[in-house]
Amino acid sequence: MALFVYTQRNTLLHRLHPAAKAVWVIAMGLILSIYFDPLPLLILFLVNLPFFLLGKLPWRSWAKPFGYVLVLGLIGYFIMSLWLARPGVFTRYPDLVGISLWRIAGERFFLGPMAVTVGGLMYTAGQALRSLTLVLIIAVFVYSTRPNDLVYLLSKAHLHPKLVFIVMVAYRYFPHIFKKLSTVIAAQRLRGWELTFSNPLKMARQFLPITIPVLTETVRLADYTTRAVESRAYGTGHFTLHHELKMTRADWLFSLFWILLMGAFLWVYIGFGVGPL
Amino acid sequence: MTVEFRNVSFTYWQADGPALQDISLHIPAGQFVVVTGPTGAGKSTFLQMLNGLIPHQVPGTLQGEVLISGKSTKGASVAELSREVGMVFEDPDTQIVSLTVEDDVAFGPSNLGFSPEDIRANVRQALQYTRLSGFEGRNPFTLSGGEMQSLAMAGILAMRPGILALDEPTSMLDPVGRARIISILKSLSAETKTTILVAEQNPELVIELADRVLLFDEGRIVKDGTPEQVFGDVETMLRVGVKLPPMLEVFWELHQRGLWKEALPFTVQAAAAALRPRMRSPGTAASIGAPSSPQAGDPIVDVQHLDHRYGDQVTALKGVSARFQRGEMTAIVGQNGSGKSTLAYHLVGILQPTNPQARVVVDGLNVRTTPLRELIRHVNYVFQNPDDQLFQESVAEEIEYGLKNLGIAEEERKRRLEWAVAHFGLQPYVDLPPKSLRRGLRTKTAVASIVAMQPAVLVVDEPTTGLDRRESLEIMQVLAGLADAGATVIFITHEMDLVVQFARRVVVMHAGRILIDGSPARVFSELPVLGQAWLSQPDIFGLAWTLGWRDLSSLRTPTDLADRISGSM
Repeated sequence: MALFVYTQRNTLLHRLHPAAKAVWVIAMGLILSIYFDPLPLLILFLVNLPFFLLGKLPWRSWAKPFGYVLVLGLIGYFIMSLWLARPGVFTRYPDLVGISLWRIAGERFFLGPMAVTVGGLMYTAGQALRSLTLVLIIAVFVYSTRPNDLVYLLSKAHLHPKLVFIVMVAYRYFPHIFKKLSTVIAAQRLRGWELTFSNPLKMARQFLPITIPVLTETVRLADYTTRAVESRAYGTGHFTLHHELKMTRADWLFSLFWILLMGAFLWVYIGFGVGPL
Repeated sequence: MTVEFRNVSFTYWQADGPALQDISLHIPAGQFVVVTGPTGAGKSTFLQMLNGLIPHQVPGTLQGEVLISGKSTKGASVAELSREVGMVFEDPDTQIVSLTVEDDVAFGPSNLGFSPEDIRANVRQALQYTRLSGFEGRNPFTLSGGEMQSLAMAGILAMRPGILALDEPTSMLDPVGRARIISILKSLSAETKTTILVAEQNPELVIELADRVLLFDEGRIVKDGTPEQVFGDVETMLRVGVKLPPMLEVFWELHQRGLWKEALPFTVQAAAAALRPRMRSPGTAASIGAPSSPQAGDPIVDVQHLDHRYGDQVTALKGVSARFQRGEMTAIVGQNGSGKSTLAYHLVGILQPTNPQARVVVDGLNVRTTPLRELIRHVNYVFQNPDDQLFQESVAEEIEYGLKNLGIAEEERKRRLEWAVAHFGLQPYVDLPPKSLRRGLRTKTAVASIVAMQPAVLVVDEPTTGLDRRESLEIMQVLAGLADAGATVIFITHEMDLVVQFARRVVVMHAGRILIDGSPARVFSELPVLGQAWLSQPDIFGLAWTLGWRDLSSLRTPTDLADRISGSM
């Protein structure tokens, strides 16, 4: 499964300068961090959609994990939305929160009032759209950007070598850790480990057989990788690329598009109060 | 480039004693040095001093001085030293940082600030040397283990170091991968003036290439000389616990019996050439050994028409059918990716067949329909890496963990714990955290925690990876003991001499199918089939075969072969 893994292909997104793609990620990240209203978030998703398609992503292998994440996200956000039953939570649509579709618990309930409201459903939809868009942008960025180019870019930005190393290791080992996680879960299930739903403290303890081996592996990996990259002269401060990396007109246009889009959404957010719920 | 150690000692931070003690030596340019010794002897510590990982990266106390071409490693960073000393580690997975072969090889030269033209030239040459030309655009993680380790070597060679240090470069590879790495080392040694140091627990792999062997034990060099001088001192090798090349074991036996006074040969060819003039009777081509009948008897595992596909493209198993008998000890062998682990995963229900007509029955239970919690009482699996399961604060808690999950009563739990601890020789470590133990003991703890659950069928994936000879034999003897007591043991391995010594049956897999299934003597007599699976005869069979003996059924150990030779001299 090529999820969050660079794959060499010849697509428009692969050919773009990593700096141009970084502008895209940063601009969209900023807008997505302040918008909660599902309607503008849907517009943002649709604006991004052609770029997801231009990347010729491996949709077939991505569909399943993304489907799981989306469903889990929807469930999580929906549960959270049940507590958004108090007026005043929503600034832009205060009336919607009052439209209760199903009242679950009142003020006397020890966790506070819970209800399925129109506002809550809007919150759920907005959060799901934000997450989906952001995760897809990051996945596309990682899928289409060579790790060496990223190291070069970050070095040029005068980021401390240790920070560049952290990015590089995360980029490279994210899939490895996922694979390790599934092996550890299998190993513990063969010793009778099962996840049962109980109070949060007990549930946290139930994860120890999984988290300890995975964390140990993560530390081991970081330690060995540090030794391996230092042995390959990492940290000298100068990194040269063996291929040419130049901003073309397409790169500038791509960057400009996202900067203008970010400006427009910020203007709408500040000027018209669109964005928050 | 030369290497010099002057009275070097090193103690790891918070360690009880030194890992290296008073090492002094000089290695001239272009020498091929094999560094050997048991686990924990100091081999890796020695190599990590060459490129300054010790003391710059690994905390501890260093005394003495290491000089690379006259320059002290204390005064230069690891990155600076990497121009002169290239280091290849055991696990190729931790050395690859990029996601295309070309980018990964370019990573080192890029860090050294070489010009783009020089980087491209170095990358091209390093890929040629490591036989990876044409792989430039490939994702390293789609490569085989041997190709990945070749890539790790290419990444180092592209930096043009004068000294190449390799720490157990073949220990995680299958036979094809090993052969590939040895062949690259052979070319490098013959065609360049690179000084090469290889740490190996199984020195038989590289002994032919060595100009010099350093034998380490408990942080000291106990023997330093030519391969003939070091391996000729068999008593020291045995005392230290290094695996002897099988030919050396055979001839040492003959020497002990007063039948061999000359130099001891290391290789099959040399052994055959030395023996032929001394043999009274030539070999007979009578029989290949009694064919086994793996489908007969009382099967406890029954696999029929098993297919498994990963995603849309990878067919891991195709029409696999096999039966395993009660109390049988079976080895599954084959190259990485041949389907060994995938088959094993189906036996314990980690994976399900992807074809509806497949049938997997273990101890009377249909694996497809039996809940995992019930299944693990009957069949279980030990993963290759013990660290995938160890998490408790003591060995005792680790062994009891599975028993508690199964709801075993306390009294019975204690009884099984005591049995497992005694059986695996873990008494001195029972209160220690498993993570603090060396690899051999961690493997024993992991196996013990599964064995204590008393499954009728035990599947063990490469139980001897990372272990020295003594530890490997200990683990295998415990597994053989379980089989003798009635358990069905299926183990996956690349160590053919262990297969011959311990397995009663061998299943050879290739490209998702079973190529051949039978007794070791029968399977290792089928040379064309072995070639198809990229396997070769274990050395003791190889020598017997070269001498013309075709009945291999009574051969399990070098001692057995020495007996046979004794009778023919």
